[in-house]
Amino acid sequence: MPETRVLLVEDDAVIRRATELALRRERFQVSVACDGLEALGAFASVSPDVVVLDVMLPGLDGVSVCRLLRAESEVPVVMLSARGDPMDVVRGLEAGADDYVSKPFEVSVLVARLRAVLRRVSSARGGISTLRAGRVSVDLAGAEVRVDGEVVALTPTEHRLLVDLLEHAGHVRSREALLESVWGYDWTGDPRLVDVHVQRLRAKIGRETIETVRGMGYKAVRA
Amino acid sequence: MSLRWRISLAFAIGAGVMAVIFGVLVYERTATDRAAHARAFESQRARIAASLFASTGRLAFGASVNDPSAPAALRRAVSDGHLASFLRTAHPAMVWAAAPVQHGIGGIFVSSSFAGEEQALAALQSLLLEIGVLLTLVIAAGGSLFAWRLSTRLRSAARVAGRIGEQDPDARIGMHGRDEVAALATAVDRMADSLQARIERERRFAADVAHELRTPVSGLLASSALLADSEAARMVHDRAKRLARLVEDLLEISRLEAGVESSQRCEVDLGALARSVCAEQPVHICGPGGRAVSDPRRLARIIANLVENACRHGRPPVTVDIADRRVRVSDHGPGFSEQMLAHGTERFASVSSARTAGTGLGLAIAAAQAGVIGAQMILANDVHGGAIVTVWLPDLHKTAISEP
Repeated sequence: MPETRVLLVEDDAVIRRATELALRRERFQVSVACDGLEALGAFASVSPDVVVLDVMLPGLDGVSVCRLLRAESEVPVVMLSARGDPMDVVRGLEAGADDYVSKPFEVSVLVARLRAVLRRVSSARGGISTLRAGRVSVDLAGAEVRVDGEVVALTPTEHRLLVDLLEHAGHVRSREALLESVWGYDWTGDPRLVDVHVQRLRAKIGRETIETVRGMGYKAVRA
Repeated sequence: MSLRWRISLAFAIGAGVMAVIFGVLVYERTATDRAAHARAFESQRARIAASLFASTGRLAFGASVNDPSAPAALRRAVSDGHLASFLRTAHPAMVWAAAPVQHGIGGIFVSSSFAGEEQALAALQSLLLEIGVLLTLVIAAGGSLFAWRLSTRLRSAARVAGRIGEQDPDARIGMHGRDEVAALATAVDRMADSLQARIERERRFAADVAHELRTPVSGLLASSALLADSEAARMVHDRAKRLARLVEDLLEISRLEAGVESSQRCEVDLGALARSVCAEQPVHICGPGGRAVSDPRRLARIIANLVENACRHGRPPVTVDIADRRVRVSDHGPGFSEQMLAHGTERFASVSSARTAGTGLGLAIAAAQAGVIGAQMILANDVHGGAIVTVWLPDLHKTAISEP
């Protein structure tokens, strides 16, 4: 199996170098960039499997980089949020990030998040049948999502979330259950991950497929 | 005595004294005038009577010669050849006058009653008394009203100042006007503003320090994880982890104290939550179990902090007792000190006492999180020893559940 390629974008030299060495030790193939522009250049030349992106970067900030990456690729993105401001987390997720790790972080936590994100990529390509709900159909074998027959590009996390909701169509899925099955979190998970991803998903496949159940969670309509 | 009564009393006393002085002056002046007028009138009658007697030998105006009932002093003055008058104010009030006549006869005496004048003076006296009492009452009432308004304004200012001191830093008096009370109120408001700004600066300072520490601590944590395994490396990594934890706790408490946090509520099975939170802790979960509408993440944070605190400072067995809308964490250690019972939920409250490995923020964070979800957190000691922390959750079943 080829090594997983990680693009690490971080402006602080010590964090960048230490994280790079720690990820190498975990058998990742690491490329580094220390600002937003360099990150975009490195992304084009390396085409990594996953991007670790600091929110605060000199010049082009992490949220903008994430939005630019998302415009051309479904590559998984994990943000490193350094700010205490919870709005940064939401902005990062809305820009298309799959998950975040807040600083100061332990490398083992970051590695666990990366592996969880990467598992979604592979699980998104592992099924055997087709799921349907309303105008949406998901071909699990080809990992293709169609709305009214038109192919829609979803990130692996959005894909995994949609599949989970469709597999339980007609039943309410709590935020906690979704955090556990999609992101691999225990109770420490941030429910905003679910909320923001559901919003992104609705923006791509239409509002009517996923219903909000007040105080409980989300539910996919039955086919 | 309150300011209001003191001012009212001062007004009443002042008005009373003024009424007395005014009354006495008016009465004395009137009485003197009337007496002088009566004596002058009587003297004139005596002189006319005397000259009539001298020219015609007749006595006019009921005059008499050498009236023996006249006062001795008057008779003496007349026999010395003077025109004189005498006023007796004792009952029956009379005024006499006497004029000397020639031939060595003596004097011609006239007299009339002064009782009418005395009555008029008595009437004046009672009128003055009435006016004085009425004036005193009116002025005292006016003073009392003035004092009442003053003391009401002062009291309302004092009440707001008390609120600022206790728990409501946003309270302001907001009194308009140009007198001293308004000036005092404005000064108190300004003081509250500047105190609040200072507290805000200090809070921001703590948050800024924690924020600035994040990047270097992240670097330290990441690079210490790279050290080849040894006792020294483990010590460095362990300290780096604690430093990172402290920075995170400081940021969390700063956010909580800034009051910008909101809760995301849903129906929570408290027992299941406690079991998942305490999965790796030596904790006994008991009680009938229960449910509540709350923010599960914040609740989990509270339970985790309380359990960690109990395990660190208390002695096992640590129990988590769950009932409807209630979580109680207790241990069998020495219990909270007096100081902890009073200030345990403040930052670094246990700094002075012997602390082992905590950041000193666990209880403060739990209390602040409880504040965000509207819960009450109460510290107590068991009579048999051991600390008890009880979290009472609000009954939110009937209120709306927040939705993003």
